[in-house]
Amino acid sequence: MGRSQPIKVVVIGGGCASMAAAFELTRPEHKGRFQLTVYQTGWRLGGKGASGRGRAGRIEEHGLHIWLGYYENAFKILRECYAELGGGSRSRRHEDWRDAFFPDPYIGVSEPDRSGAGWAHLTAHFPPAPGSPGDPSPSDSLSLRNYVIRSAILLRVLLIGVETVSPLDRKQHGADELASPRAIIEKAAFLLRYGFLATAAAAVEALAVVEAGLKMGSELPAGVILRLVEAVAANVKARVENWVTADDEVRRRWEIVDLVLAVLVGIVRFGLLTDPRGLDAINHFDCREWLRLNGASQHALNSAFLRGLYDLVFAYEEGDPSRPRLAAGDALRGGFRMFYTYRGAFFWKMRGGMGDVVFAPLYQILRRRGVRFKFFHRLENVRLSRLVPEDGGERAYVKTLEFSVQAKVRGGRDYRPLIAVSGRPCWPSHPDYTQLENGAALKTEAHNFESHLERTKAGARTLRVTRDFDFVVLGVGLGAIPYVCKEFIARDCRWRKMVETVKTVATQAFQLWLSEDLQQLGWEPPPVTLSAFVKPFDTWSDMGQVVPAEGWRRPPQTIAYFCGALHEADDGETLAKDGYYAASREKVRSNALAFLDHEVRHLWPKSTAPEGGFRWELLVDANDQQSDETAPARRRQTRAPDRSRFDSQFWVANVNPTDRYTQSIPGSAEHRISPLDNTYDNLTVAGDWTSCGLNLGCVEAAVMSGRLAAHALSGSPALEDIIGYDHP
Amino acid sequence: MSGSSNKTAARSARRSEASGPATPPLVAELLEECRLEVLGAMKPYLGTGGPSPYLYELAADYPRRGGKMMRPSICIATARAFGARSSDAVRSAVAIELLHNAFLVHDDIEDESEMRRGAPALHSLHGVPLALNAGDAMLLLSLRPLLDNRKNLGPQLALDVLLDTERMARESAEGQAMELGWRRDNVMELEDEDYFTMVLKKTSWLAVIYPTRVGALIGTRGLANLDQFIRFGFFLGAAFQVQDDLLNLAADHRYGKEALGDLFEGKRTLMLIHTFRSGTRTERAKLKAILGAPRSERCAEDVVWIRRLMERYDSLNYARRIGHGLAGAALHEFAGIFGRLPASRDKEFLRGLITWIFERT
Amino acid sequence: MATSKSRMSREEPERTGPNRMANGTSNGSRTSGRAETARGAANHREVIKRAVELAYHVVDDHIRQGQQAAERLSAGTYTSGDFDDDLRICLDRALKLSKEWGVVGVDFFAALRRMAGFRMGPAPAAPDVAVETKSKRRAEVKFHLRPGMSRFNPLVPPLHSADRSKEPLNDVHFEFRDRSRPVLVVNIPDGHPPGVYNGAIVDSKTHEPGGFISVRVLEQDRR
Repeated sequence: MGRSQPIKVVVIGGGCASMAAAFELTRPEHKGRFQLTVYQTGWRLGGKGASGRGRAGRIEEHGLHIWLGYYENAFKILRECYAELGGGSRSRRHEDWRDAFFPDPYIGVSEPDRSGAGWAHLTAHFPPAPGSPGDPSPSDSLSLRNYVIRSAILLRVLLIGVETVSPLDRKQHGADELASPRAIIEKAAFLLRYGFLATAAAAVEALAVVEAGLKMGSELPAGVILRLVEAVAANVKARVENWVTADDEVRRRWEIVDLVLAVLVGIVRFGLLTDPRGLDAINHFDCREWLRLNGASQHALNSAFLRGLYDLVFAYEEGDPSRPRLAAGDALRGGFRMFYTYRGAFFWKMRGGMGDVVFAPLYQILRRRGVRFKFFHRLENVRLSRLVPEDGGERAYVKTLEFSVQAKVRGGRDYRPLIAVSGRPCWPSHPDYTQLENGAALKTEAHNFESHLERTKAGARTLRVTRDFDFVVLGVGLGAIPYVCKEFIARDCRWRKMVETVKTVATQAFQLWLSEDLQQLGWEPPPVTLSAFVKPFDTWSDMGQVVPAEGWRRPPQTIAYFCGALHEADDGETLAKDGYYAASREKVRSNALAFLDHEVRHLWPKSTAPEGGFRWELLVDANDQQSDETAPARRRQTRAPDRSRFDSQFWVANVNPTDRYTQSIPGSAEHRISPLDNTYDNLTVAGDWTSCGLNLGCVEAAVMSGRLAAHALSGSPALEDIIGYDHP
Repeated sequence: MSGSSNKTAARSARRSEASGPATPPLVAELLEECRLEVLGAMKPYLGTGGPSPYLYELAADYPRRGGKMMRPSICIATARAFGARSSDAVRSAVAIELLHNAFLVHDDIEDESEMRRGAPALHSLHGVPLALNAGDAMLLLSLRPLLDNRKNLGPQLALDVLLDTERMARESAEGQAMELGWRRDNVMELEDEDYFTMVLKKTSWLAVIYPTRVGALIGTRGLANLDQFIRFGFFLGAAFQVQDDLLNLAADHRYGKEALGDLFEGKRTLMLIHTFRSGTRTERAKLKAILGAPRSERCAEDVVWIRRLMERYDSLNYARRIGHGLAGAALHEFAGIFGRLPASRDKEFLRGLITWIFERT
Repeated sequence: MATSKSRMSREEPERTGPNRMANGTSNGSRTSGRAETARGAANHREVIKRAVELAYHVVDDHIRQGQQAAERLSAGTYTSGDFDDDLRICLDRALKLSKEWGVVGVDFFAALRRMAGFRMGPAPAAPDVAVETKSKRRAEVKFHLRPGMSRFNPLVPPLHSADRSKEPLNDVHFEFRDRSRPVLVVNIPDGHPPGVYNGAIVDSKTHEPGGFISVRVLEQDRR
């Protein structure tokens, strides 16, 4: 259908999903078919992934942003973006994506130690896997059968007692004799009949049989496999329960074995290998509940491993640590992808803030491709056409979009959002008031344009269908939906159900710039990302790698990021209460102070002062940046710093509706709405809260969602090319 | 035997589809005549004024609202076609109409319908408990005219009619149970065969099979082979039902019930199960999800989506064609039963019904 | 005032959800539906023909069931329907399985109840009985045997047609040839009038009815 004019697309929101959608829709292959305009609140792109620059050019983030090695879609987009940028002229710090991202193979979890007074930390090193995420050919077959086979291999390895967990280990032990279904059944019958599974070695053998059996596919009746797996499970459990273990290391290994076994039993028992719903079939169970149903012991259910998993995805209803809730299917899917399908390294850390590493390059590329950006535009309402139910033809559609203009740019120009720090384009932590009308006044008034409660406006703007836009990509965070999509919720029960069941959680985070390195602080193992530590800051990541990207004259030795869920009610009333934001921030601050005084020494034994409490002088104040040689002497003369030193660090309470983290509560996935859904035929939704296949709160889900949104509007990328979408 | 009869039935179907309906005005005339006759005969049985104000007025409501009285007319016409007089059959006809209305009261409650014949449903007016009770009473009320049959038909024939009434009531209940069971368990994986079985029991027995059997019993003084009426009655009744369901989707507001009401109800029509069978996995899942939710949670958007899906898979035309096929089979069976009977208005009326069902609005 | 451009709308997506059976499962189920797109009058005729045949099949079964019910009614041993037996067999199996695997029985029952459904068709012939028809004419034999019946010596009294003028079929009986399953032998004399012949299968000892049999003799010859 020849259309000489480009199709006008309005993209609302500047987070991962929207940017992915924009990146796809403006690919050169589309030949300018789509004309995009991105509408963004405040002064910077990124949404939950935004970051700014403060004093001394230090990076200030919304929380901990780490990418995982299975983020195929996210890395693909990122690498293509860098490649396209690098094709340009000047020297750029991040010419190659490998300068911006580097592999991190260490993951850790903590648990209370035997005395009950301290903590023990386990770190695991995940060996590199071939390739890099975003490489053209996807990692091995993303199938449940494959994951189960890998789990069986993993179990064998654990039972034999090898230290590291290798995804590459595929050696078949005695696989030749298990070549046919008949042979497998005979061997299984043999093992079962004579109670041979009394020893670990026999359990190992049994698992080889299971593995071979699974590879046979449907020729082998599932019943045989189930009986074998259950027998192995019984064997293992019996041993664990009889065991008085002195060796923590071994006990923890058994806990993992227990969990993996429960997963295997569950997969076979629930028929997940052949269920057309795949892992969604168990999404009404909480993960722990489902594992328990399949025989996991209480020890394993309380293990640091499982706790770490819940912590990683903030799986606590309303942030309440006593209410862990994580949909079993989504958890398994994420777990399998995370452990079995990573490429390069398990984790990938950024040498900069996520805003700098991801959103600045994306912004530049999109500008180059002709995308327009309207900052300081805040969506207020989406209006729909009238509903005509009897008429079989016409669909409902988005009629108008209403925006508040928070501030106008001088001279009607486009706002230029980036600043240069250490020679590289970054996003600032505050708007550039010099570009805004009434800039001086706005600066004095110190509005937070990213805050939900901020109502300052310099004007309003209404966009109308056909006149101003043809299609809409609604890429706002889930928290905004009840406010801006009231019409949808009023007349569409699916939207109503979605906002009722798909939940978000507030999070809290703080960053420390430290004058000593990890060794000096008393942390012996390599730098790590660690979870399952004491709440509320159960997750710690060492971010020393971003120091060079900041602008310190006397750089700190390392940087520590802490984060966790924030226990806050989920309703609009609490939000609207006067001074709520300030109160939340204060709460996080006092949480952090208590944490530093009492808990952090379990991580950094040498961070305690002789009289107890934290050594506040460890914290590097960005205001205190004299390069004078006499400075150290001068410091010694003044009073030793106290807790007020903390105020020089950075912390956030992410209570803004759109800053809240998307959760995967049991029973909620089925109510998510897909970007492909065509009920409103000029609208698509994008975000990690949509039905995007992965259905977890993370960058990868958001990018998949954005790509789905692009497909919905243009047919491209093909659904088969969205890696991990068609997946059990 | 069935092989050859299928072929001729199919041929009749094609012929009827090709030539188009040609219902003689006779059908409307005879319907009206019978209606008046039945109304007259019904009055004494609807006598109100019992001690309770909560029963007889309610029981009389639906019958008084009118309706075409197709079922009782079929009974009278069949009886007359076989040589009996109106007066022989009229009491049975009254019973049929009372039974039909009793079932309507219950149906409306079970389907949560709001309207019936242009006015609010009985349970909407009086609440479910009273309406339910009135429906039950109407069932028993219908026994009276059947018992009165002893006087003019003799005890044996009256008993035969009663036995057939029991059969019809049982089949109707079984058919209704099937349908309700499908809805309760959200069964969507249905074949046309299942639908036919349900319609045979739930609709055809009361609508055509039973009236013709009773008419034939009366007309032949108990000698007729009754099984042949099952075939004729089933085909005619099923064609009637399919057409009914199609009309509901055409959303003509003059029809007296709410537009797309069947979709809101989740009624398993031939179209709906065809759409389900034809749909993709995701569409089937969505359909199941919509119909599995309570009716209150079904919104206009959902219903419109289903309707649109039906268009996409051409389910309406599929059902329409089958309806025509069934009508053709009905014609064939009609010929087999009534062929050797002498020509009469009643015979023409019965034959004309087959095309009349497609001309209703 | 009115825009000359008509409003743009998205194209219908081919699907709106992920295919969770993708990659590596041996099911190989199709992702697309079996949309029936009628092409031409030939398809219409086919649809009608099939539907009418199906409808005949349904109503004939129904009639037969009614006749059997009538017989049962007169014999005084009427039960509420064939589907009870199906369900009972299913549930027996479920119990056995759940004991074996130790799986919670609840899920099994739920799944099986769905499977059993509300099918009101005729019960299938007991799987462990073979049928042998000795007849020049084509004949269709349908029968139902209550479980356990095959262990006794089931007896088949003469099968009658509703048309009294037709002779009954006298030679229908069970044979137990060897240790394998019993055989139902249906002898239809040459020239026997076509029609439907029904009867009960009774237990030879107690004469309690334990099944029904219906033989439809057709006009055409075999092959």
